[in-house]
Amino acid sequence: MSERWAVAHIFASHNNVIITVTDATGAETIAKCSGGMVVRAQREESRPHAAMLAANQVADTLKERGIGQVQVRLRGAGGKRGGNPGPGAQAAIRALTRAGIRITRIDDVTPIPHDGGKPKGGRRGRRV
Amino acid sequence: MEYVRIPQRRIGVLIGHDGETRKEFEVATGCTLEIDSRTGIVRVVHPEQGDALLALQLLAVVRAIGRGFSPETARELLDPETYLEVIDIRDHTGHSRKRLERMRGRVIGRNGKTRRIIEEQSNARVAVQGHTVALIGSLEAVDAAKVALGMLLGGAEHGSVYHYLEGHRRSR
Repeated sequence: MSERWAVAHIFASHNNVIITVTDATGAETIAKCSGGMVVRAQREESRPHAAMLAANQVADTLKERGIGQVQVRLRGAGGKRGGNPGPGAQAAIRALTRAGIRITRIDDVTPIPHDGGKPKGGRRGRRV
Repeated sequence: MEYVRIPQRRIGVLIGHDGETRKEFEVATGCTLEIDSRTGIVRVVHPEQGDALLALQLLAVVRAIGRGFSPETARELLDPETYLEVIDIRDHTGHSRKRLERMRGRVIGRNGKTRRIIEEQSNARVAVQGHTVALIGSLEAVDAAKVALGMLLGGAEHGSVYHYLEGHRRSR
């Protein structure tokens, strides 16, 4: 593969999806887009549809720059907030593939607490 | 390469008779499952040229089986429009063992009545195991079931939860 490659950092929480594509070192941002940039309603930011639109925008920029393959680093709201990548993660990855970007590997880099902070909620659990 | 840990008693379900279930999933996704039956750690190994997304979905399938779903139901997760959601009951009850048991009962209901109603009205599948409630379904279905479960776990009466679900079903 002589094609240039990059790293796609996909942060999919329950409230938003943020896609940042950087070079291999992670220091140079090549393209970025988030759920809030592509939909109006706040509640839609984390939806698969928003993730798809954001991923498409990113893919367009990537093609302009002649980057054909990416490594995905997938991340959910981590640490004491726990949780896995939200619903936008799969949609974003799928949209990238559809847009003709080859995905070489997917890593889950959700931060895992080594018994760090105290999670929300008290003795009686979290009451909403 | 990713891994997930599942309870000891669910490992047999993941493997199946003569490894039938495991093989079925491996063929469907082109990945390999490395199962350590002593620690319960399951690794999903996908080939270099394979579809990386499928590996991610297979991981969700393994997790769903670990959270009490049958392989048949968990298989639905291989469809990209289907989502898995795992709710920790302890988020709502704290550490009290008794409260946990009571909440499990509230979610399931007599002879599984409550669980059945949630499944029918929201179109999501529900599995209660240990300290978690797991949901499988379309995004919309899972969201509705999640709200209903949040109400139940927060102490709402069953009647008002059914009422909410009824309203949700109508609005579809």
